[in-house]
Amino acid sequence: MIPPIVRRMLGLRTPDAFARADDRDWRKLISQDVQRVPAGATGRRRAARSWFNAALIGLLLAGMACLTWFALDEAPAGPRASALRVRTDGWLPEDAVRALAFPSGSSSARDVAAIRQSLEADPQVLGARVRRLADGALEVELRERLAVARLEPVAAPGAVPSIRLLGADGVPFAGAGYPAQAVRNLPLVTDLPPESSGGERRSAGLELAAAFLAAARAGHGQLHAEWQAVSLRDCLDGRTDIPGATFRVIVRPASQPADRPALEEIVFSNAEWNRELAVLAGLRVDELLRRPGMTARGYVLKLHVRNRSQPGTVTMEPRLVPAASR
Amino acid sequence: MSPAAPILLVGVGGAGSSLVGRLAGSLPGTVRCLAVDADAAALAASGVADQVQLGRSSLRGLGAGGETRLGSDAAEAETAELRRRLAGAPVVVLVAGLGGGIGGGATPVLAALAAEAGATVLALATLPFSHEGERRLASARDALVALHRAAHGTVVLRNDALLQLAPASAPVSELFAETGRWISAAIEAISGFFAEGALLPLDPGALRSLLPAPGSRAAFSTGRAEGEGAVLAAARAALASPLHPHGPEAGRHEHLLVQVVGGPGLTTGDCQAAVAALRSELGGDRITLLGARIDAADPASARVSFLAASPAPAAPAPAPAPSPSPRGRKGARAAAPSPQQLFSFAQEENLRRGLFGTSAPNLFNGEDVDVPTYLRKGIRLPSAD
Amino acid sequence: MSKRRTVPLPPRIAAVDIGTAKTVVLVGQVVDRSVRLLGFGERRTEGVVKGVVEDLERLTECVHGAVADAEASAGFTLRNVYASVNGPQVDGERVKGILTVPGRDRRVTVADSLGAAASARRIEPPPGRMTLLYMAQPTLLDGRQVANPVGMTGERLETSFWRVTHEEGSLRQRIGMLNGMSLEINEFLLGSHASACAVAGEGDKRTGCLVLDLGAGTTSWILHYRGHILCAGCVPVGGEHVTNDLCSALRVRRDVAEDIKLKFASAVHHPDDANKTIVKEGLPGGELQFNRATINLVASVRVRELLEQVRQDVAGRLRQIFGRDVDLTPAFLPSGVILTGGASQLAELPVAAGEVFGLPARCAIPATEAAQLRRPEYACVLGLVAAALVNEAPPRRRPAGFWDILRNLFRS
Repeated sequence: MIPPIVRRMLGLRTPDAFARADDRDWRKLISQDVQRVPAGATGRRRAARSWFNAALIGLLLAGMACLTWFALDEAPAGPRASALRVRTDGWLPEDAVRALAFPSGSSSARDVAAIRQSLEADPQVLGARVRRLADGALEVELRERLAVARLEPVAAPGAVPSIRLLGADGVPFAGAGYPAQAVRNLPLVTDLPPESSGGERRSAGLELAAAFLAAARAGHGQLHAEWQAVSLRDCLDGRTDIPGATFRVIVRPASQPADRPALEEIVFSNAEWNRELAVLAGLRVDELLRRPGMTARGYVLKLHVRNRSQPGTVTMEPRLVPAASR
Repeated sequence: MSPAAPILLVGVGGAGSSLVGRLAGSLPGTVRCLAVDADAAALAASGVADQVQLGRSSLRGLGAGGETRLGSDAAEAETAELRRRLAGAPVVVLVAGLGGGIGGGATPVLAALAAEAGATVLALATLPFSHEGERRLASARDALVALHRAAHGTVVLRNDALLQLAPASAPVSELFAETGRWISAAIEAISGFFAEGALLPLDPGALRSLLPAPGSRAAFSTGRAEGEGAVLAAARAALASPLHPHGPEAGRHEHLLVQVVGGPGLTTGDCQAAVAALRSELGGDRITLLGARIDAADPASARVSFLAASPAPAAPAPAPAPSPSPRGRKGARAAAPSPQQLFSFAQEENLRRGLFGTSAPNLFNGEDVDVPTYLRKGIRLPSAD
Repeated sequence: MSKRRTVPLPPRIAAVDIGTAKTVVLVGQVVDRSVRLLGFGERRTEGVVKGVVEDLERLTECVHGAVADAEASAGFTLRNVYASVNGPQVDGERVKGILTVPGRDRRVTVADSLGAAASARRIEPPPGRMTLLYMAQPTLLDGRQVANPVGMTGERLETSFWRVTHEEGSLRQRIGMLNGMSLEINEFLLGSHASACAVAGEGDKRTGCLVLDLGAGTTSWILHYRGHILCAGCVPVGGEHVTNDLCSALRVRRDVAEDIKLKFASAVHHPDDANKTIVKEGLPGGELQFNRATINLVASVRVRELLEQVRQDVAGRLRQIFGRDVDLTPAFLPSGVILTGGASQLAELPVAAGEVFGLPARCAIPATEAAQLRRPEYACVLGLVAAALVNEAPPRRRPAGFWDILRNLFRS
């Protein structure tokens, strides 16, 4: 408003009840000058109380904000709304992850635990870690079951046959996202028992083969590279208590030189394949096959011998047997 | 100073002179009476031997008609005569009804004259009833202020309070008789201060020490009781009397004079007890004087009277700088009373209003509604059992 | 959104009533026609005598204390208040605005009715006084009283108001005092109007009644006639005057007189009380005896004089309004006299009021949930809350957001 000194200079009067205004309403003549902080001792007490209340409310709000921050992790979010960031040590593509995380059947938002569960339900995913980020995106870290072998593709009637791979622990899975090159060199596991060829059921034979192949790949890479397939014909479902339970490794014919008889198969026993692998690694198979007297076209390397005279024992006695005599 | 008549009782105005006339016969010999009025007929009817007629030329034997100005002029006209009559008495007691013209106008003049003559002037003034109208009351208040200034001590008797003294069924004329009785009791007490045969005698100079200078505020009351513990009961009755101002505004007084009149069995101890009771209520911190007298005529009863006074401050504050006189009124000297007198007068007025004494008067339809209704309407209260 | 997510918020109203004997600050909500108490603060008023402020500092302290108490009990800070005005510094007068209806068809429009109201407000109040309020009074169209003239036809439209004015100096003082406590005044309301809102029902106001609020220092009155406020006024005599009279008559101290008044005084004097004695014990001088007839005579004389003064004041105002003498008869005011306020608790007061006014008289207390407030001395402050509601915006309903839920959590 106009300061008093200017008012005096201009000859204006402060509006009061003696002014000749028409109705002299108190609101027009008296402007309320409400002090923000009340005066006096009582005023200070009131201001302190309200300050204290405000501080208390502020603290509570801060506490609730912290709780909310933590709760946001568990808070639900819609499938399309959130971005998805996938990190995996395997080959699973993002849309497959999204399809797994948000199955098309349910439209409501899912929390992180549910997403993780559905991810881990897929046999290709060994373990998943799902985190919700501050901007609402989902971060997924996957550990995948890496394939050690191929399986015969299973085709549902009328559908495209899908790749089937075998993980190191014997669990078959559909290898989504695997590029052809990675799959091509994997050995094939064949002659599965009829029951286990239909579904994804684990079988002990598969476990055995997978373990064996994983170990071979890890420890004896150059040997493993020559193998084409693993046959579980005599595997007897992977039982290790029966001395005759064996499995065969079919060697890739192209890996064999042409000037000597080919090594066609290697037979391992269920129970002792570890030691047999070690023995095989020490064997100079090429020399053995070039010995004079090796006249058959192909040989089978048997790394053990079952002693017929003493059933129940297996001796380590590698022997090359002509392949025709099956 | 003639020991024959140390007290001169002067009745001023119609009310005063008729009162004095009524009392003239019953007063002790130590009291001399004088009636002063302008109304010749009233003077003649008063029955007082010594008379002074005021305003012989101006008023020609008629009354002042309620005009205090006329009254004071008339008194000033007779200054010489009055001086002659007032001389020689150590104590002059003026009795007047301040509502009237002579009473209100002449009394201050007489008080000034008597004080000049060297007497101790005690004024017993009555204020008109509330239902006599505000105008009379207002002029009485002005006269009271002037009287305060002139007399050594002024005791105000409010007629409203006097009303409460009379029995409920008494007619109005009885009220005046009641006033007379009161004044006679006062005179008796005062004269009794100096009478012979006192147990504890006082001399007239004592009164002077009580009322050293003009302008003291004084209070007087008397009480009577009989029987066992009569003296203390009489003291309490004096305090409880309606004429004695009561309440927080009554204040305390610095000087106290107590007179005890009792039967032959009166002891100093009784007197001291009475004095203690009075002091607790009234003060009397600077001077307390006790006079006691045996009255063989009425052995069983006791009478206690007191006169309490607060002298005006010894060194009056320097008068406030006179405000510049309004233009066109050169030489006009406002006869406004000094602040002290107004203050003491105001205190007197406030006593009527009780708890609202110090607040602004509350006028509704011209009446001060703070004053208790029963006082204003003159309603007599039944006496307490 | 489901229905339970909206928040009905009846407005919270803080009312301050500064009287001669006590200052009350009430924070309330109006719920279903009764006042729900949220916060309450009361202090003995110091510095006010007979309704006029004598010592502003002490008054400020005591009002501030009451405000702080009310805030503490309500649990939130007060920012806006409604204050009551009462006492000899408040005056009222009737202002009338006349408008000739323009237009060929003589139909009254909204602009016309507003114009009539504006012309009423153009009348200048007496010098040194400020206008506080306008209270609606009947609108006359061609001499006929109408509720709403808009749309009707007529030639002459008269709108009148009862305008309440206040002395400037004391008004500025009051505003300054409340502003210093960081309170903004929404509106000033007339104390007698507030008391009438608390104790007189709609039916009483419609038929016509005279409401008297007998306080400690002042007695304020308001006259309702045919549903409108006709006039209001104040007589500067209250319960304190009765105490003072008793003090002077019985020659006792103020607190003893007050005690005697509360226990024994009556507005009607019975001659056969003369022999009954009241003994008051516990006094410093021992016990004292009083005659009951004295007590009743003194009290009844004073109360009758007060009622008579009110009657004269009412008659004077009515003469101003109607231009002729109007008798207070039951035909004029069927609902009679309604007495409230602290001093109305005097025994047999309705009888005395009935005799003085010639109207049926009764005492009334305000209706409220809180039992401690169902006393006549709180009629003014309770009525303030109810009367202020007219001023407030209608209660809001809106979807409860996060902050609302949070706020409601802290509101008990």
